[in-house]
This record gives sequence, structure tokens and C-alpha cells, in this order.
Amino acid sequence: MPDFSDKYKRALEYQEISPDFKERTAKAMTELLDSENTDSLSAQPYKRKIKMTGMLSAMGAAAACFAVVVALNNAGVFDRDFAPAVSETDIIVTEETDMPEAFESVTEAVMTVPETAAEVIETKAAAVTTTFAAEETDFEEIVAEEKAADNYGYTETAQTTAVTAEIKAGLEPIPQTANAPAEETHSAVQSETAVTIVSESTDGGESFSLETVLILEPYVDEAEVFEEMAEEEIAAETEDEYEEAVEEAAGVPDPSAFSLRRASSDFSAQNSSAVITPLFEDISAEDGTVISYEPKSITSVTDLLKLGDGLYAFSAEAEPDVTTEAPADSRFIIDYADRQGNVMRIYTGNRYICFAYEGGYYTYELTEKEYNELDSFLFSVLTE
Amino acid sequence: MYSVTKGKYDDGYISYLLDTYSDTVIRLCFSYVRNMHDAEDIAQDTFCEIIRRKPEFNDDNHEKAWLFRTAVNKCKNHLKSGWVSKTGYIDDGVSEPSAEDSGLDDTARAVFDAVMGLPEKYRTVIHMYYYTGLSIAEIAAAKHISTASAGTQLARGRALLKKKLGDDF
Repeated sequence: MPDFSDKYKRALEYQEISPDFKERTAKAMTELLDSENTDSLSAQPYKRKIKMTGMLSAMGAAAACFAVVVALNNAGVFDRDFAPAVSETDIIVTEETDMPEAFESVTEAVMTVPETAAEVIETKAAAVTTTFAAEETDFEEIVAEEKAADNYGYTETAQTTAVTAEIKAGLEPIPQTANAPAEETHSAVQSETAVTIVSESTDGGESFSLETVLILEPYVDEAEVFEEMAEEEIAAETEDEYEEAVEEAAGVPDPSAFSLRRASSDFSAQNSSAVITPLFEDISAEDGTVISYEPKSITSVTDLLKLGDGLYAFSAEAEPDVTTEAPADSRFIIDYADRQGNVMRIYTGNRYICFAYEGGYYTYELTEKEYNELDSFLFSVLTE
Repeated sequence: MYSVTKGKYDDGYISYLLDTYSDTVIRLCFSYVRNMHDAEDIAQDTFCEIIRRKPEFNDDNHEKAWLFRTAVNKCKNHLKSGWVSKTGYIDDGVSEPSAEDSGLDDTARAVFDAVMGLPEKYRTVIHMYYYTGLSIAEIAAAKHISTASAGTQLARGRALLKKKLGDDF
């Protein structure tokens, strides 16, 4: 690796920088510095003038606000007894006095609030059933589907007093003549709920009325949420950064989240075992035959302590490189396991040691000396 | 301890900045734009920016980080500019090291070509790590990416270089 670094530095330094770069840049910076100093000095009177104008503007605005408040106070706007000339409520109350007697009973029903939400739901369900038994039209089937789909919504609705009253009124059988004024009454609460009245007449002249009560609640559109996420992603400076963010979200572990001390604390010598698997073959210097090595299992506490000391002898202060793929050029694989079921795999190869832990591969670079010591230690354990 | 006089914006400070950082900043810009003329222009703009903004630095590291980050921002803006993004660079050989003329050996030339042939995000991380000597955390800060991303980009860059260079890496 140092060779690579040296070669790259050497090659890069053959890229000649203009000899007059420093001179040109120093001149540009000095001119910029001088011009900024000059500007700041010459701008001082203007700045003072701007500051004064701003203060006067603020004072003027404050005086105007004060004058408006005083005028409103004189007009009696802030008095408790102040009342607007005509309110919409008054008109509706006047119309209600002209209602037929039959509708008055409905109004009373509107004012009657059921004690429990369950009572409301039961009443509503019974009324819907009655309606469908009386008339089996396509239109009412649609209504029935809507009601069934919104069943859970009504359970929530029943907790609100005003809305509950509306539902109950809609479920009562009412005379045809009461429909028009009833709609006007309902319109008074449309700021909170949207009410739709559906009525059908039967042969007997009696009508049933169904109401669909829509509650206007803050609605979170999933598509909007997705769009907001997309905008944040677009706000990333480059597509490459977005790609990296996706990779992170996909589970590339954070190297700072990995603690070698914590990872290795699960494997005490008393309770664990290790298997060293060599991934290389040697050629005999004597007869040229290929020598292969078998994996070696270590269970003795003494050997495990030695193995642990050998593996963690290097400085782990450096930040590891983290990847999602195991190194492909390892010489040894060490598999730790303990009685609690914890497992950890360690790869060693040319000038690195890699810990596979919780889905990530944390690789530390080793110095030549550290690597040689580790490799010879593992080899000695293998051939003992 | 960071010298107070360094933060005083005068000719002495300008000389100090250029002597200390000019080569590093130019080559950092070169790793982005792969063209020495543009790299010099961007580096000059970076140094002028420090005069325009007059930031107050706590120490040398803060100063260095500010310069690198500003240079990276300017390089990104340059690469996103209409002319460059639509036309790309004309490879006129100006920025290619000539092995015959300079005495540069073949392996160094191969290393340079391999690094310059990497995609931008890997190339710049490799440059910052191996040439500038920044840590992964410093690279992440300069490139406005997380430490994990910087580590991943470095690992992938190395893997690509290993594939290209084989034993030379």
C-alpha cells in the first residue's frame, strides 16, 4: 500500500502547476482585500444613513400600529359587550321557529346525546337494517357498502357530541315535510362536518333518511409523504450522494458503530471455542509436493487466550473500513463460537484483519510487522 | 496552538496560505476535474473566497478543513456547470503525464491512469486518502457525506484499483 501511495504521489506531482500560480493568486487576493477595505470605509456614511432610515421606518410603523389600536379601542371593538349587528345563528333560529311540529320532535332528538358510543352505533345499525328491508334498490346498496366500509369511522365519530347528535337525527324515521328545514339546521355545523342526507319514499308515504357524516380531519396523503422524501433526496447535491444514502439505508453498517472490544467481549476463553481454517496450500521445498492443511479446532483455555492475544494485538484505534462483502483473498478464517450461540468470523489476509459482525465486515489495515506476527502465530497454531 | 496572526487578513497571511496549501488544494481540485488549468482556476477562486468570507478559524485543522470543503464545493459546482456537464472535457493530453519526457516509470504511470480512470466519487476519496493523507472522517466532512459512505467509497475504490492494477496495488 505504501508503494501505491508513493507511485501515485510521484505521478501526480508530474502534473506541473503553473510557476506563477502563487504570484497570480496572491495578487488577486491582495486586490480583493484592498477593494474590500476601501469599500467598507467608503460605505460607512451610507451604512449610517441606511441604519437611520431603518430606525425611522420602524418607529413610523410602531406609531401607525398604536394609532390603529387606539382607534379600534375608541370604537368599542375590545369591549366585552360589543356585538356584531346580525349573525347567521339568529337567522337559523328564526327559521326553526317556523318549523312544523313534526320537525320539532326531530330537533329534540338532535339535542339528545346518547350516553355511550356503543349505543349510537347499535341504533344506527338497526336503522340501516330497517331501511334496506323496506327498499332494495341499487342506490341503497351503494349506501350500504359505504356504511359498512366506514363502520370503524363511526366508532370514532361517536365520541364527539355534536357529530353524534347528527348521526342519531339522521337515523330517525322522519316525515317528508321535515327534510328541507332539517338540511338548513345541519348546514350550521358544516364547518366541522360535511353532512349528506339521502332520503327515499316508500309506498306508505313514510320516508327514511340516511346520513353520511364526513369528519374533516387532517389527512396525510401517503403520496405526499413519498414526494417529500423524494424532494429531500433531490436536494442532495449529487446523484452519487443519493446513491450512497440508499446504500446506507439498505444496511451498510456504520464503522463507528462497531466496537472491537464489545464484539470480542462475547467470547471469553472459558466459554468459547475457535476453528482456524487455512485457505492456502504450500509446496514442499524438498520434493515439490503440494502440502495442504486441515482446519484446526481450539478448545483449551490457554490456546484460546493465546489466540485472542494474537488476534487483538494490533492497534484497534484506527477506524475500520466497512463493507458488506467478505474479503476474497484471505489466508485464514477463524470462527469463534461460544456456548450462548454467539459466533464471529475473522478473516486475515495480506496486511489486513477483517471482523464479520452483525452483517458487516470491518477491516483494519495492519502494518507489515503486525501482519507478519499474526500470520506466523496462526500458522504455528495450525501446525502444532 | 493556532497563531492569532494567521487569522489576520494581510499579505503575510496570504503568503502563508499559499505556501502551505496551494499545492494540496490544486491537486485536490485536479482529482475532481482532471484538468490542471481548471484546477488552478478553482483553487484560485477558493483562496479568494477566504478573503471574501474572512472566516475565523480555531486551529490549523479547522483552516485546512474549511479550504478543502470550499474547494470540493467549487469543484462540484464546476462539474455541474452547463458547459462542462454538456460537453465534458476535450482530452488534449495536456494533463497526461508523459513517461518519456518526465522519466516517470511505467508502474507510476499505470497507477496514475488507474486512479484517474475511476469514477469521480471513488477517485476523489482515493486521492484524499493516499495523497492528501486525510482520515475517513475528514474525507466525509470535506465531501459532505457520512463517515460510513466515505469508508464504503474507499473500500470500493480500492477494490476497483486492485482489479485494474493487480499486484501493483
